Amino acid sequence: MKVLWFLAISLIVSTSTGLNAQDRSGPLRIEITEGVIEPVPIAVAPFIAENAAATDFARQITGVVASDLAGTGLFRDVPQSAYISQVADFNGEVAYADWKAINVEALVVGAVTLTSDGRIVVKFRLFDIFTGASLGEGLQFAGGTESWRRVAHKVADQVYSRITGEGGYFDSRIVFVEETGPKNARQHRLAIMDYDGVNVQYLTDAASIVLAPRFSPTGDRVLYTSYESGSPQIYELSVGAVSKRPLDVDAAAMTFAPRYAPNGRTVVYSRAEGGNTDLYKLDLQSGQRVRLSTAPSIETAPSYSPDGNRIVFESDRSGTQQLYVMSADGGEATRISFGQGRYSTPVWSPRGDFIAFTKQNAGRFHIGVMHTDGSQERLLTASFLDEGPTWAPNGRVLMFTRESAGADGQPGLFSVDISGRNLKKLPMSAAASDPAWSPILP
Amino acid sequence: MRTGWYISAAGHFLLVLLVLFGGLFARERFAEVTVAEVSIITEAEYAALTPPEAAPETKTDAPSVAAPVEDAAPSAPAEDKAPEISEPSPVNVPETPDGSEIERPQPVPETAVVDDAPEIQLPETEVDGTSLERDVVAAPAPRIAPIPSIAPPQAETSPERVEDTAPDPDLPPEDVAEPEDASAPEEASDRIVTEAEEKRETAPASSRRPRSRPARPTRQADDTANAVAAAVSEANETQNTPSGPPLTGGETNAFRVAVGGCWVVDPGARSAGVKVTVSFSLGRDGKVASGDVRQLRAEGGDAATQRAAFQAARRAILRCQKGGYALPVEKYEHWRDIEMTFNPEGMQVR
Repeated sequence: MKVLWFLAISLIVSTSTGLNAQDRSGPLRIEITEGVIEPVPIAVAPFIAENAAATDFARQITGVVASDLAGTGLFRDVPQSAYISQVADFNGEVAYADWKAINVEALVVGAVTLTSDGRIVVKFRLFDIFTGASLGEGLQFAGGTESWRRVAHKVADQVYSRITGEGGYFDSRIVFVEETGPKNARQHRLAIMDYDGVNVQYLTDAASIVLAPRFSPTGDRVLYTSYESGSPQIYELSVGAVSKRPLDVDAAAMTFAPRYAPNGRTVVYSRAEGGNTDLYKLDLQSGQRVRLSTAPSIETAPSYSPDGNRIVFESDRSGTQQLYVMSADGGEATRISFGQGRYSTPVWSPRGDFIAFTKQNAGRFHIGVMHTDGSQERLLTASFLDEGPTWAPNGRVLMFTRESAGADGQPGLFSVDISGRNLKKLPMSAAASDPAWSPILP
Repeated sequence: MRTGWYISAAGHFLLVLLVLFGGLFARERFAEVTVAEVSIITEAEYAALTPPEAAPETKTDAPSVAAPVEDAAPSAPAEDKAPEISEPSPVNVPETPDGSEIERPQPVPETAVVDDAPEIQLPETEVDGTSLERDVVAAPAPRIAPIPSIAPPQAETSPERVEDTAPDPDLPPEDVAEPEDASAPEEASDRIVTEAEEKRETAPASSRRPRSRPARPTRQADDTANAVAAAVSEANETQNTPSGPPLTGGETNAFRVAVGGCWVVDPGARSAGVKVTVSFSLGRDGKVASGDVRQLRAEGGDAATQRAAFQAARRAILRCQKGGYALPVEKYEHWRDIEMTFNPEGMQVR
């Protein structure tokens, strides 16, 4: 048998060799379909302090840039102890061979100056080690010294964007509900912080329950639901002035689950009256209200598509909580979730390609994503209680609330990459829930 | 002379008679063969079964018979030889770029980057932290609440009792728990297992010993590949082509695996939807000539994601070449110019 097999192959090869000979003038063509999923090794060289006053800022900014990039799970910061050569001059030559020898693929070089008028100036360059060239041009950012973290986030965003080809999300903020006190007497207040859990500042007091804050598309306003009047009502809060006002919706009914349209001028929300909850939209300038759904069921948690033409929401019209998509002007809705369990809190991705949701099935909660037509559902997390996802500005990362079980269980904020990797808890000193991610700050 | 004829004629006549009447080819001559199952035993077993018996007593008046021929033991069955199996020929393991050869530092090219990047002018907004004006939000937290806010941590945490006791030198040192990182370290893999897909705690506490290390990918050249290689060599010997045989499937696959091992794919990125084709030339040492990798075409994505996909492909080629890709020098003409397509379709998050 082997002999026959060998002869057959010999025949085939001998005939094909002639054909190959014809192709020998062309290049060898190879297709690679399998790569590896691992962090890209980068080096964030200590930023150079160009004057003595900038020494601390240089060290801190280096740390934030490295932390931002490594925190994505897409990059691995090569420790300084592994460096063969040091970067002592921002305009100096890059010893590519030294960085290549320690398998660094990208090098970030930066310098910090503290000007006489109290401004901080940060400039950086990014080098591709294996091609021996810079990735993009050098850039510099300037701002007040109190904004040094934002400047560092800006640098990290640029590095991230140049390597991945996508926008970053580091210079962004999270508005959330901070929770204090025991479970049976918990106090809530709105707070805002950097995306990484730093710089927590409070927007409301703990006098009344607040729920579900949502950023405006420009990031300067926040919608939220408050029980200040005794029943849930929607308020709009200006982040800069920290002033709030109730929205001009029906004060006689319960209104909740608000969310801005991408144009920032329209708000969609839920209104409950007589045991029925439907979706409405409000024009913030004219005050005109339009009812979007009329089903005798509970429709809530609406979220606009990035183009503003469609709305995804949850409804129990089929008997269980499921996700539906309809036109932004209302009308017939199409069910998109068909898996087992209950679906809720859908959020349309800023990229427009996915819808994130909460799923409850078999006693466990999940954060998942699906295509906008409901296909390709993927569950990214699983725990005792996960809920309320919110998208990073670039649509790559989801943040959500995870609450631990038991009487001492507390909610906390977690984030996970859209691929399901890099699940981590935000380092926060207090319990927190209901996160909403801002757009990239200007 | 005729005597021979007579003898021959008589012989043939007798033969004819024998055929006709002697039943030489009669069916009954071929009695049905009785088949009996027998078992083959060794000489020693046979000896054990048939102990030597005492010689039969003979009577003197019996006719003399020839002494019985010594009972020869049955010849031992031929030893069952195992079929000959050709020893597996060693598979040439292509050299993998293992980093043992690190390029000596080259003269550092001068970076002629002029740092004249314009300062970014950001529109001033209420939350603009990079504007020259003081950031309203970034300022010390305004206590906007009419009621003083509650200090967050103290309300939920029970007061910690701190005992001011000196450590007992006689006691063994306590194990200090390492601060646990919030996120698990990422490891290189070719697939993603999300938390939802992870097995729950019902997983068995023990498992079978892992199997021995799998064969290296470059050893995937199986018998067929070897046969192809041998056939190719034979065919080319006869054809005597000057440029030598083409790469075998195993050699091509080894090259593919070597580059793929350095191709970092981010399944969640939009660049994971970009199929990019690059071209480059290799020197005889298996290294990219002048480090020049050119983009031929890209499908899918926008300009930024295509650029990112190309950079990832270029980094893979350059990073894994190390001391040069392990390709057969005698076939250099076949791998001097290469078009390589990086297709992440199967790895993309869908």
